[in-house]
Amino acid sequence: MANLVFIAGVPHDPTLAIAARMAAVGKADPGAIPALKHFDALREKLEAARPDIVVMVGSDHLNQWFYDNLAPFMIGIAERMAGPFPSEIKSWGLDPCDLPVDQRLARHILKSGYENGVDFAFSNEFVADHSFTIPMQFLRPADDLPVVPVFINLLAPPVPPGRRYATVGSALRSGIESDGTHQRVALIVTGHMSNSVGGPNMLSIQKEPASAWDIETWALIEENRVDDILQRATWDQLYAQGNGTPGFLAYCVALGAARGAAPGFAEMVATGAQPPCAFLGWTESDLKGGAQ
Amino acid sequence: MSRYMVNKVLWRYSREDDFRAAFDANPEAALKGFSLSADEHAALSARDQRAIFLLGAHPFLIYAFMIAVEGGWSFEFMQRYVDKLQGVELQNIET
Repeated sequence: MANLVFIAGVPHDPTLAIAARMAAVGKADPGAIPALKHFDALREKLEAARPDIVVMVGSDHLNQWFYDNLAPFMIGIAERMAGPFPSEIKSWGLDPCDLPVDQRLARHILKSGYENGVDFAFSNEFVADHSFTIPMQFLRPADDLPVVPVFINLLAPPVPPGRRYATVGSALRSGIESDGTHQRVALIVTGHMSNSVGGPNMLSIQKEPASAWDIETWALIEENRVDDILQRATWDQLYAQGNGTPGFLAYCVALGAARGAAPGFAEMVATGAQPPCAFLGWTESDLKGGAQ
Repeated sequence: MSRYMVNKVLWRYSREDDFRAAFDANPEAALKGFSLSADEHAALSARDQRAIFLLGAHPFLIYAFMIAVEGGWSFEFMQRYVDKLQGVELQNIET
């Protein structure tokens, strides 16, 4: 069976990509440096895990999937995962990304989901927005691995409760581990802590870099109280903490895939330079601490 | 209420140059194909960010719409955007 050899949960804030460019010439906002360091640490851990394939779980931010036909969970089975959108490249100076999709594993995970109670949607034609390309470029700058993109709806309600995102995470793992090969697969998910982009509290991080919700939720993560975290992870509860906070649901996918194992790497950055962001990492050895 | 249609206008304006040009030239004509309430029609025609927000449009789409109206993002724009939402509560945005 293929092995799940690493899980990472990371942010995808475009300002971090800008900060990385500025850091190269010594001009980054000091408040962005800790996040860049955590990306470095997780990049090294991913490299040490020697992955053959990355399953990349991101969102779409209503860039292409719209309210006319919106799937909560979708697997990309096209030949390639390319992006981000030209408007994103223009706005933030992001690097283009164009990686082969491991179509065999993508289809296997899709069908494994059907067999085991998760009816993923699928797509043969898509663009990967910044939530896919930024984590991939921070964590695997060599651009040398095939991917399986998984789109999850994090911002257009109604969305399922957090426990369903955890179920999807576990289903992704079951699909990875039942594919009949010996490949080494890493899972990367990307989401938010509290976030108010486009809302009235968009600038509140300048006065309060971490909200009470961030601090409480982070304590639950550090104690690995997964059930308590999932209880809090519903649209209504998250949305009340800032219109973008349902982006936290992505971390529920990682928790579900970890099946109770505690992350060996857990760092929150809340400096006010960008919305608070969470970095989680599980090595193969960390994952042995959970249900198999 | 036709939040879906409001969202669709915001979405198209921020991503389709032709639609944006048509809307800027004549909002009345550009909105003809959309089923909107009188309040929604008025808020969109006036590009009234606060009113659009209170109608339950998606904040992400409003932000993209206003960036397009502005012609680009700047920190000063973001400050003005937030100022216009002073005191408003988050709305139900389910369509």
